[in-house]
Amino acid sequence: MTESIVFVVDDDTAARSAMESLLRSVGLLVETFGSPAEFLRRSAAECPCCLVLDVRLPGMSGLELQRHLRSARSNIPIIFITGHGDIPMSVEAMKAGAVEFLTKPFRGQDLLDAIHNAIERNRGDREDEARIAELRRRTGALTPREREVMERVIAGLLNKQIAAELGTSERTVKIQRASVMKKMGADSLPDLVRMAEKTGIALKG
Amino acid sequence: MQFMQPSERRQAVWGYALAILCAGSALTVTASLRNPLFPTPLFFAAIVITTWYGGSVPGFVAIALATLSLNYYFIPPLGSMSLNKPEILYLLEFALPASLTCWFVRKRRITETMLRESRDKLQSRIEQRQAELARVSRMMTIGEMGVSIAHEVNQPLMALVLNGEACLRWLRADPPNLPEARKAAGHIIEEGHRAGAIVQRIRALAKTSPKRVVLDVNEVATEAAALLQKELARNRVALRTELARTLPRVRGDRVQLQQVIFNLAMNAIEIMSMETERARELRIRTEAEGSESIIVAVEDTGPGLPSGDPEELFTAFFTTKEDGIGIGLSISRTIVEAHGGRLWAGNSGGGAVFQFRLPVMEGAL
Repeated sequence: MTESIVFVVDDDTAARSAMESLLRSVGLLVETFGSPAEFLRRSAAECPCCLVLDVRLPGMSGLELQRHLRSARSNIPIIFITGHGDIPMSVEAMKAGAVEFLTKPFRGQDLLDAIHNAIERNRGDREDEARIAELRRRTGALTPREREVMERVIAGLLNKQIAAELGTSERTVKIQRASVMKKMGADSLPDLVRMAEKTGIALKG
Repeated sequence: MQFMQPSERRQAVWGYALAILCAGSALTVTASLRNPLFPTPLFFAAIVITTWYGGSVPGFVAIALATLSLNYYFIPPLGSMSLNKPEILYLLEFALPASLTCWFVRKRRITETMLRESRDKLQSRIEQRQAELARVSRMMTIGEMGVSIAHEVNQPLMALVLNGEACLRWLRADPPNLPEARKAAGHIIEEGHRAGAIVQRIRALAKTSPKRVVLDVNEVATEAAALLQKELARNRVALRTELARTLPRVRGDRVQLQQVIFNLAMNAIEIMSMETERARELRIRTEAEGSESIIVAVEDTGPGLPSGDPEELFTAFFTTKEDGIGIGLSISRTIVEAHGGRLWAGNSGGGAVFQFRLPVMEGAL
């Protein structure tokens, strides 16, 4: 497992240190916080991570922190813990994308399993993000004309049709098309289409 | 003839003695006035007094004595019991109204006694009902406290379980991490004590009979505040406790006084939870008031008291809440007054303030 980190936000000192000890005992990196505000002061992690969050907290509640993180476009997975088996609240939390909702007192193994899943999920998200960022970088390196050609290629147009649309020769289109494939690192047309989908380049209808 | 009870016999003897005493006094005083124009008024008074305090039979004895005295001492021929027609008329004119008066007085007396008895009976029934009400409200409060306690017990329980698991994992590691395992075991003990303290508090709650002990009201307030944690968090109310550094001891029931503070604070929290604009702050304050008494105040930052007489808040079944039954404040007042104190309401700068004064225990610092 590459470096990963677990954040714990709970206002109860004893609960916090107990969770920290348990997580460290299985070799996880842990950072604990007494309130959402404290957590928000920390800059976002650069490695796969997840957040263990008490629902009832002084000041901003756990659910509010969740909303705050979502609106700040953070995709950190959240494991909620609560003292009450409060069903409406857990439904709300799960709808808003919580990975797990644990009712105190839970088994340590349940928490560890939830954390494991959450970190794997975050790792996957991060890899996707990295891939997309790379594709965006590649798309950015295309010349405007190459981009126009690419849009038409993935829309399924033939070289001849593209040349007619852009008012150029079929030969030129062929050269530009090869250049697009090379710059994007695509092996085939389907490969290029998948990449375009991921980066969100609009398919020209 | 039926046997008389000793108390009845004593009552009868007292009645007759009273008749003789009153009639005799009337005779002595009237006789000392030489040739009174109207010899009857004092005899009349004697009859009324005898009937009121002695009953109807002694009353009639007094009438008989008065009539005989009048005939012998004041109606010519003096010193003789002989009767002629005008004398008889005169005596009848005295005896008949006297008898009537005697009858009315007796009737009045009986009515009054009955009224007093039924009043006493009602009074004791009211007291009984109030005690019942207090018990019911207490049970309800205990129910509310129970939820709070469950939450409180859960915290150390979870810490216990997690520390235990962590401890095992530190020991199972290769090589075992003894310092970490020891630390986790230490936490387990601490949390066990924390749970134990909560259980003790529950036990204190379950004790039903009021127990008067020497109390530090600061402690009572702190315990009540601990029970409020859940409600405070749920309604996003900040708690500020301003406890006097030293507070003279009072004598009282710990749980009952806790209940009063809890009730007042719950009201404050509920009122504030309807507020959206203002910051919600609950203030619990204790202070010594000279060496005679102490004050406990519960203040909020809500909208303040409703207009009207604040005393109305304390009457049973008066409520401003939709789902309230309006006995919290009335019971709180009953409890405070049973402790020789006073509970009242007012407005402070930012909201309502409910406070009570308790007398300091004699000989306390």
